[in-house]
Amino acid sequence: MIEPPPMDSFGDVVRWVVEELGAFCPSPERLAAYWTQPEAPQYQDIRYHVEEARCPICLAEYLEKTKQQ
Amino acid sequence: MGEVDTVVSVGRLPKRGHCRMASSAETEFQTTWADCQRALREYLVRAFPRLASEVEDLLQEVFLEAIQRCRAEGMPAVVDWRGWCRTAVRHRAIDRLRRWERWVFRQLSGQKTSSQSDSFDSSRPSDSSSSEPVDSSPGPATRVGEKQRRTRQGILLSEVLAAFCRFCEAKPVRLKMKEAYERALRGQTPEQIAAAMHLPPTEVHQLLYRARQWILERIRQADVEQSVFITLFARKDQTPR
Repeated sequence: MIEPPPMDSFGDVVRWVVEELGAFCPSPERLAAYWTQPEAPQYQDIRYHVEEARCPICLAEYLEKTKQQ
Repeated sequence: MGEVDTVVSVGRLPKRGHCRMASSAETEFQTTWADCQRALREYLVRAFPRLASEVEDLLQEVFLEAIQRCRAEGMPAVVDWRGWCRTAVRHRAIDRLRRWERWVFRQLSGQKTSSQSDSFDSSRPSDSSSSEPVDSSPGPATRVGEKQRRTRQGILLSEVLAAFCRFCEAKPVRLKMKEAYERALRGQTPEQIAAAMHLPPTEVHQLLYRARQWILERIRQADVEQSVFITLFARKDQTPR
């Protein structure tokens, strides 16, 4: 059984969907391209998503990839 | 979960009444699974900490799915089993969270159900009849319409936002809109967004306006009956920025 976060309003649900459900995750192709060129201007949105917002899903993907290499 | 319940540990299938020779694909998968099971477990906990208590269950689901795939006729060969497994566990995890999202929407819209008024079991399929509200008055046609309407509601938010991202990613010129809207949904004000993205505030307001219009239009298309979702979206005290 999942431990539920507080979701008393629609705003809470929106935050949860964005923060935990990966609603703003980039496509796998763009994410992979970003890892090879993290400073490229065309990946500014992903830089925010990964480096500032610290999306756990994208960061976990990255860790997995680096482990494989 | 039937067969899953009989699995003693992840990566072991229940004994069958007859001996079956494993295919090369199955052997290949089993070898990869043995190698990457621990990494998959760690990946799931990192990416979806909310599901930490369900990791073993998710891994079992994916293991059985892979075995079925190996044994099915005519399935394309999997070149990278490790990548396949990671993608599969990610999808299963998101599926579980989406079931929860659907349940939460029903709760927020006052559609409490008879069997799950205050708790949620993520492993239970969301479209099972037990999760449907008890409706004493409408006839079958009304109930079918209501069920379809709720199904559309339940998939809206995460799917609409994901569709919005794909829309933005299709053209580089739209990427600023994606970033600005994500920043807004994560709590930044238009002024903070303008400063962070080095944009004039007026441009940020335009980007956010266009993003919200796109989202609302998509919701209108997906929910032609003006669902509670739209009602909630429009409520001032609960508008998600």
